[in-house]
Amino acid sequence: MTLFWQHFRAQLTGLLIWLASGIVLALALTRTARAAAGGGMGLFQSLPVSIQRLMGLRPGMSALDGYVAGKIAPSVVLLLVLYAVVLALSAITREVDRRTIDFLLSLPVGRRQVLLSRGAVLFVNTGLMAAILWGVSIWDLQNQGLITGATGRYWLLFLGQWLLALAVGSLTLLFSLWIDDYSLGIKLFLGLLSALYFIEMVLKVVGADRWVRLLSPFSYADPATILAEGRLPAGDAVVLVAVIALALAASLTAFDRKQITA
Amino acid sequence: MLAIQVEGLTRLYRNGRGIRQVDLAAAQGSVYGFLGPNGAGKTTLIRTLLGFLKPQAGQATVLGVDAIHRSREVRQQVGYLPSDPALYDFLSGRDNLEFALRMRGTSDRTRLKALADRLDVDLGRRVKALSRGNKQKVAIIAALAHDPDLVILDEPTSGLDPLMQEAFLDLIREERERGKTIFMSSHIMSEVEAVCDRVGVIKDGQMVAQDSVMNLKKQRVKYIRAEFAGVVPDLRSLPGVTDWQAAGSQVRFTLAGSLDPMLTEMAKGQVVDLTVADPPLEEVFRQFYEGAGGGR
Repeated sequence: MTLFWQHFRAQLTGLLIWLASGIVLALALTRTARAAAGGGMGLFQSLPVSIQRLMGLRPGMSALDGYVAGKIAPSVVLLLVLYAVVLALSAITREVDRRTIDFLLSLPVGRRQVLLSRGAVLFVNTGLMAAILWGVSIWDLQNQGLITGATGRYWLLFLGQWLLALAVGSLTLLFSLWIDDYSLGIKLFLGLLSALYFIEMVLKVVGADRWVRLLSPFSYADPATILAEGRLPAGDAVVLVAVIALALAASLTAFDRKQITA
Repeated sequence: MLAIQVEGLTRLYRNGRGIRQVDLAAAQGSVYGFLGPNGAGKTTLIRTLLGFLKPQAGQATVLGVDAIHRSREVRQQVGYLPSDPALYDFLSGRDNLEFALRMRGTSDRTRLKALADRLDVDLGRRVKALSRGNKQKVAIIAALAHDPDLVILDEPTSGLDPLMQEAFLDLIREERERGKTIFMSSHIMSEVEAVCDRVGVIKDGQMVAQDSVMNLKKQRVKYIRAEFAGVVPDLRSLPGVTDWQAAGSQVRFTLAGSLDPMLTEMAKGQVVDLTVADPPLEEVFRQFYEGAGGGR
């Protein structure tokens, strides 16, 4: 637990900054929901089909669901995934880059313990971030009277996006073990994610097959599907959980073998 | 009993540097100085002993524990000061030390307080706000606060002012008197000469010498100064004589090897005065570093 709290404390300022930015973004989006959704589906339906596809809309969606799936969810997931990448790079790469790994590994701790504590912080912090951002969004939509019934479908978005952020974070943690330069890691992974986000948008616009889109993490836990079907797609959930488990297991082995040079 | 025993240890990097076939022995309760030019392999050996690097061959035992396969147990009993220590800068010095002691399962804070008083460091300030010297002091406390049986110090006095360097060397001497073993790498010969019982010299990843400071100095060249009444014998043809300088009845030269041939030759003249001096340790190591005289 000492290792977990020490790393959690190290990440606390970052978490608060990301949360503050996320809450401002979420509230900005929910505050404009009434105006966007107020005219029924008119606003969205008036858009070209390719843009509707780009926004992940489905025929027959309610105005509010369309707004949540097309505007709020893509913004929140992008923020969550970026945060997960930064957090994963802070786990080992930043410690190596700043040489604090020497202090840490000079103590009688196992490398697996260190990595698991980092994984636990990734799990908790992305969970907190996702829960608070979706909590704030749902609360504000309820406050405005836009959501009147059960909120379970919206909380499924939180679950799906948390899993997605965890999967991306776990993969980043794994591959970051071969990168000792923190700023290089940030550039590399954020660049890669931006490219995948862009590719996903293009594939949506052109109406590419789902299996092609599955190459990008952003096509998993699709908000429109979750809201329309009222459940997290089982296939997506299985893939995301498997990626998290495999990436963490591989990270444990890779970190165990890592040579910590001066 | 040996605190550190290394046999045939090899850890080579892709560029061919590192350490190869290193043998080393440091006795318990002694101060072992580990010397070598930059890039010679000092830090690689230290990091291999602590499990940061996995060797490709060889064995290492620290305080009787297999350092390669039971690294965690080794680190429980060892204090380590890296050459460029980095602490968590979002924490205060005290919080860094508390974290280290908690991880070691140590509840006694007496020694931590005593060391902080002795090294005159304010542990309440965030590490981010500390000068390099004060960060070094906190790192020294981190290496010693749990009262380890073996302390491994990589360039320990860099960043300390001269007064604090002296205080630190006193601390090292006291640790030795308490039966602790100190293994320190250093570039500062005067401090090695002042505190070390035994030294090892590494060059290009291989040990080139390992002996007591006194023996090493003896094995190497000697500075000779002699004064004769009457004719000064020409000793330049003797094996090992270099830097010959003659002025009147006095001669000065450097002699490598046995004194016997020189004394036999001198006895043919009339010696008025003779001084045989060990060179400073710097000179001894300069010769090792430059490969001028080989080693054991």
